[in-house]
Amino acid sequence: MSTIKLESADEKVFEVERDIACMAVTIKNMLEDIGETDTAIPLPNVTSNILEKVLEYCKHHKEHPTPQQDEKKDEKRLDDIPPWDREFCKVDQPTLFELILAANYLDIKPLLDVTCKTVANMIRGKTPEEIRKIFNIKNDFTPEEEEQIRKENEWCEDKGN
Amino acid sequence: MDNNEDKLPQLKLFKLFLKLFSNHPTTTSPKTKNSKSQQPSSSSQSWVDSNINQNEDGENECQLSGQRNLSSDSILICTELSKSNIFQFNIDTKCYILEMADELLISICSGLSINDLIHLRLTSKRLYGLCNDMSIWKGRFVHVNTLNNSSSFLSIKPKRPTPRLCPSSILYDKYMYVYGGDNGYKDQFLSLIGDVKNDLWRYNLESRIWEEILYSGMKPKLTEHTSVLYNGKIIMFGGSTGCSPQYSSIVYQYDINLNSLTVFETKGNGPSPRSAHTAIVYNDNMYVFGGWDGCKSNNKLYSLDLLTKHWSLVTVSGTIPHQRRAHCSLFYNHSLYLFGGFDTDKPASYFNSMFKLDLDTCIWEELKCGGDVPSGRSRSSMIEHKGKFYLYGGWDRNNYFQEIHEFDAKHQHWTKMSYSNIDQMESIGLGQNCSVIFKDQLITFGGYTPLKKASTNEIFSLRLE
Repeated sequence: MSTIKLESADEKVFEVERDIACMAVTIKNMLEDIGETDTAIPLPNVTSNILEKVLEYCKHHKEHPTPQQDEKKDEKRLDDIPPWDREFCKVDQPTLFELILAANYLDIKPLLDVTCKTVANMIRGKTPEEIRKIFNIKNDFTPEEEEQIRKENEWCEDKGN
Repeated sequence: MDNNEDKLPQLKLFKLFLKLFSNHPTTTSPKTKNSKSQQPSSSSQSWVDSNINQNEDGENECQLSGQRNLSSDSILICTELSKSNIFQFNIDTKCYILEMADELLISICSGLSINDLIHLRLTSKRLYGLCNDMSIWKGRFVHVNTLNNSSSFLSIKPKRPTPRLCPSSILYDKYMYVYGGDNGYKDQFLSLIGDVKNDLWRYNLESRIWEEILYSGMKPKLTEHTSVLYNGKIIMFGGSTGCSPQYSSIVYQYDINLNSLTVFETKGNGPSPRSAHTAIVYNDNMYVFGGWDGCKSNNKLYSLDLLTKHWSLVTVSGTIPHQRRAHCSLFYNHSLYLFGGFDTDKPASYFNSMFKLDLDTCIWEELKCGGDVPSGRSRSSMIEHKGKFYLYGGWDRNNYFQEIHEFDAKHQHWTKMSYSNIDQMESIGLGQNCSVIFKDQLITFGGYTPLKKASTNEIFSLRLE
């Protein structure tokens, strides 16, 4: 099994199986461009603790491939995160958002999907005030602006029965 | 450090209280503010350490604010947060979510329901802007909240139309006018026609209030008829009556200003009685195509001159579409466009070609279309907005089509729109409904919902830009 080396932003080198690293489309493309190499591929946008998580994710999914599903229908569902992935995403907010950035930069679509869904699930079913608290969002609306948006929202807000 | 471990959750909780009350200017000391600004951006560990150093300060603060502010509201928030698995005691005050690029936030938002989106857009200006991004709304039907008409509070009159299939609708000013329809045999899409209606309603698309219009004159029961707007009058033609004779060939006009419905007396060779045809208006003429007379479909095109009230059969050339019924048509750019429909004449078929009839030359053309060409279907709805046609719903006896297609008339290109609120798609009328365009939104009323195996009286809106 051939391995390659990846170097994180804080200059830690990780030796990983080529197949696992290639789940990141960005790395796959880099390898195709440069061919066989012994030098570590620098990933200046990813710190070592995040890269370690990312590689853990790739390793697990390489060993436990998820069966192909009817993509079209389930694409946007929030409640279909597999148990392992759900546990994987139980991290603090800085880590979660850094994972999103890393998944986006390394182009690992399943990881991007699952981390984005995790954030969406943190928003789901919450009031605006609760959402602000969870994410430390500063309310920068004037009371008048807020009232105006509340009025707009009434158009389609489902208050439940 | 070890001694502090036990106290840590408690300390964090104090800090959380501090944060909850931090809107109050007196509860946050300058010292706390200062230490916040010194906080390293991504290391939450060192931030926790600094909490511990501020122990006394924090405790005082908490007692103060606790006495003053321990409202039920803040307790609710605490319980809510502690239920969540995600770092409930993190006192980090940095807003990580807003450091994300727009593109990533939009992909987070695209998984949210409409209710969650409208809550999220109330949180801050940036998220308001992002939640309004068209890419999140594209292809989503939104259930429109209908308000009760307060003036009819004590009245026994119904406040909204009953569920129905195949009503007709037109847009006039800010109102969607809806006439007739039926509520036939419940368990079939292509219903046995029954309970044919003759009520007239208008829905105010700004105040979202339904109002039944008590009009004078004729009161014909009609379903699967057509309505077009011409000079402040709703011109209705054909349809099923639910009684003998089954099919109508009468033209009616409802004058919106006079509030009266009368027969529009016509001359000349008009179409035979029919339903499930289509009608459009161009140059003071109403054009009627296709339909069903109880025995067979047809592909004849008739025009009614609305000034002289004279009917004539239009002589057409080119590639003439096959006879059909329950198709869609619309008027765009001097032309009549035709899509879909059904015919039982050997072999039974559902059509999926787009035809165009140039109304100035009367030449039919079958368009060569690219993209995601929809499969054959009938009972769909198709409506034009800024050069794009929107086709949704319909069926082919095997499938109900829970999908929306966009047709670019200029490039003759179909695109299937992605949609994310599957639940909403299931509850809208997927055929035999009526629709209008109002302020860049497609508004649909009534129709058959396969999920409930029944007709609906709800209104849904689809943002088009």
